[in-house]
Amino acid sequence: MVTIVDRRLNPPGKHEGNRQKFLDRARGQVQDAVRRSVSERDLKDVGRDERVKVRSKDVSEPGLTKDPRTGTHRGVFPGNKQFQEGDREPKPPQGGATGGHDGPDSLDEFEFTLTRDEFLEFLFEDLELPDFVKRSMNVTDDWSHSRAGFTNDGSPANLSVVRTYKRSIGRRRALHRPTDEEVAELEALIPGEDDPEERARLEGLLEELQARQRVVPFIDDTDLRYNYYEDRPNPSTQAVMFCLMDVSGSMGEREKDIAKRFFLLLYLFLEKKYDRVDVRFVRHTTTAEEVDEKTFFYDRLTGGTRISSGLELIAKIVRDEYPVSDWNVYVAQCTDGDSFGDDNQECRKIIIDELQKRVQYYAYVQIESQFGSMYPFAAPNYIPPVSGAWPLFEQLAEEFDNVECRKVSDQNQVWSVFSSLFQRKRP
Amino acid sequence: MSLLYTGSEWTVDVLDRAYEACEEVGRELKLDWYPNSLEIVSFREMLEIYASHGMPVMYEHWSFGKSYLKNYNLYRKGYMGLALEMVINTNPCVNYLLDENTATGQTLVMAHAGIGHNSFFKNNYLFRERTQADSIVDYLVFAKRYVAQCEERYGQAKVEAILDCAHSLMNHGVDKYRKPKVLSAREEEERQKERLAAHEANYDEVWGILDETRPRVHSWAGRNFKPRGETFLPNGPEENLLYFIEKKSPILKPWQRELIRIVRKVAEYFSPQTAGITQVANEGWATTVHYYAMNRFYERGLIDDGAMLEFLNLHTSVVYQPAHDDKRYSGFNPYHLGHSIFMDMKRICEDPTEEDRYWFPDYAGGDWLETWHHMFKDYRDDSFIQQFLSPKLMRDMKMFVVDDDTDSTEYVISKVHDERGYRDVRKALADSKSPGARIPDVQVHRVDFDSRTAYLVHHTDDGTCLNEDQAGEVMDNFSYLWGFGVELITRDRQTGAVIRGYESNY
Repeated sequence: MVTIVDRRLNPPGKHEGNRQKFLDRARGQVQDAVRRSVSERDLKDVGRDERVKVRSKDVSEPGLTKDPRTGTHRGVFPGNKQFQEGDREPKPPQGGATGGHDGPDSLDEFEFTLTRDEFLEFLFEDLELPDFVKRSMNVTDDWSHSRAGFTNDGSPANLSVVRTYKRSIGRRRALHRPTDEEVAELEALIPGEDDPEERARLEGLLEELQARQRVVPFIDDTDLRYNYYEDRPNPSTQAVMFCLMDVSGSMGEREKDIAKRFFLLLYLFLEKKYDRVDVRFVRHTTTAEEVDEKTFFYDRLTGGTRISSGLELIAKIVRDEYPVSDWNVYVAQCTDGDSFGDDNQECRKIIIDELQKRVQYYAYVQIESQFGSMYPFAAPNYIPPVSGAWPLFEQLAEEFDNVECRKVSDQNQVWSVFSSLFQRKRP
Repeated sequence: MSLLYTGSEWTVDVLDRAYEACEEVGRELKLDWYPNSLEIVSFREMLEIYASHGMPVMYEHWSFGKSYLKNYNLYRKGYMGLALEMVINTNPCVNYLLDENTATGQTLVMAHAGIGHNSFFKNNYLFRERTQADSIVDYLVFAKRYVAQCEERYGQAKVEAILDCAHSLMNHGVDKYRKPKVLSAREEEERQKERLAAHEANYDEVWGILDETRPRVHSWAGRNFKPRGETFLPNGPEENLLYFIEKKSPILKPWQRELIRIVRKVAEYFSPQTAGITQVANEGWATTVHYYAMNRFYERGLIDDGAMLEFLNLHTSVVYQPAHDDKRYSGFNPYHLGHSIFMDMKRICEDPTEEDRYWFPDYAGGDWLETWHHMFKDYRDDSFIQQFLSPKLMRDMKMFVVDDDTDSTEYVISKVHDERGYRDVRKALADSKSPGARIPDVQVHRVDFDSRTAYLVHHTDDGTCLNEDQAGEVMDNFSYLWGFGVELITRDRQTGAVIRGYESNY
């Protein structure tokens, strides 16, 4: 008889500890590799099958080994075809080992694949959506009733029987109140007692005990204890993120690509980190429309630029669907800032009146075009005017805590801008 | 005789029947083996098992994670067919069977590993001397728990630091000439308690602190540590570097010494298998057993033509030996070499030629089974080849010797498979399988007591030096564990000339 065991039924992941330790060790390098890939890879491939190359240095396993490039060696080989004793063969130039090769992995680098989850974890390790706690307490009506210890006073419904009883025991002991058992015992003795003197004594004792019982109450007012409840505000854990992208003509392919990378990062980030985040996609030219994810990232559209149209639409959606008391609202906007001049007033009005006080965080990202956008055939020494939306948002960022603005000029900066916007703030 | 199975699907019943048949063959061959346990695994588990060297329990370390990933990559790229089998040297002997194998494949594995490797582990002298199949798993359970406890108490980083350094010295953590003591998990725990008691005895009551800096007498360090005057090690140079550090390092704490001891014990356990010093004999023997078994099954009608054909296919791919100029060449295939030697000796016993009688006077015409027993029990690879490689085999495989002077621009084919060359070819092949061929001879020679610098010497016979950067890193590791400076020189054994030197002062 032999023992046969089917190990396939075992839960997987016995090597998890080792894998985790290895990833920890290579952590710094993995993070770099992961972040680089975000800028370099095709949008649709980001996160999928992420291959990471790790330099041997941190994960090398050195040993005292012989260097085959030194000394004299004697080797035996099979399959002699034409050699005779004493023959000489010239060596192949530089690095010619006879025959065998080591396999595909070189000594300097070690490559492996991360799972998508691990990839996202490394990517977003130190980031979070800011500020979940509501700014103004009186806006929220989401409180929770929770236990907060005991108190001496309260309503009978909140009486803590156990606690009260405990205190009464202590008091009764201290004041030497006889228990019912003691009294009953004594009572039982009396009828059996023939000696009249003894009987009288016992009866006297019994009376004393009973009197004492009457005087010291079983439960006194000072014993009473009541459960105490407190009202605590509940931080709202529902969040909605509005992604606002400018798809006007002034945003060229390059700019749209950068914007899309930014939003893709944002989307992955939210998906990974938070369970319940609604993501709404709004794109605008001179008018705004809400679209789904696929259209947002892949569809093409072009037109003029009116940022306020997008902001209006967002404000409307917030009013209609996301009561501020229940939801944390976030807005992230990507544009090249090249709107019609007077649109700024509109934008400012909408933001100050409606959005700013309702959102937890407003992130404005301006993508710099390489030349002036309205002037693709600009003269070489053309300096684009400092106009457009940037000054507006710069000012808003100064005025309000929960507005931030950043500039991005090329896709390698996307990551650093993103991480600076969502960096976890140390308390 | 009814068939063990038909077709390629296997069930547990098939495994049972086939295993019985294998045991019968084992008895025919008069073999002795540990009770077997067969474990069915999928390729993912197989990868995990590879990564922890097949042990069902092992302490955690990032290098195992790396090994897993590396094998996973190789496997996915198709460079490495997962071995049909994996078996470990324990009692009971655990055999891992890949679930993708066919019925013939599983039968082959059971004969190869369950009877072949198993009997080798149980009877080969080197394994009997250096390993304890009965207690290794218990010891590893203890080791895993101890490492985890240390991680909790002292932090993962500190434990990793010690383990990393110890791992890099693992090839030099074995006593070549001393017989290891029997492992016992219970004894280890006793030692730990004693050590803790001694440690607490050093508690300084005046200051109310554990005085780490006071020199103290341990039973495990310092007894041979003479205070002044002598600088050479009293018992001669120490080849077991891990042992040296574990016992004599002035700075290590008890738990750190214990970790090093664990690495040392594991190294000792694996020592007959690492550096391939028994691979030819072991794989050769297992292949021979499975070859004999499958042929017997066919003779007795236990497997049909289809199964036999499948077996022959599998067998030929296992023992395939590409020529030196073939793209697929990667050295001598131990399966081929070992199996050929066994089969050749059988032939020499049963039907010797004149040449055989000349070269093998003690074996020619003798009992082949007795000879086989002698072959797999009493030899390791270098002696195995030296004793049993025949001129016929050298001719069949067309072996030749190449001398490579790294300073020269030419290779010299110094000997080929003819009368003049046989002895040298055999000696050269045997030498290439000796422990010294792959692992450099490095020993601690002395310690300077004023500076506490440790002096290591690497002796080389043929001018081969150590890999520079790796040696530097390893010396850093040694220095970290030793607590003081360390110097390593490479010296030619014949002339005494010093060729290279490395220093580290961590």
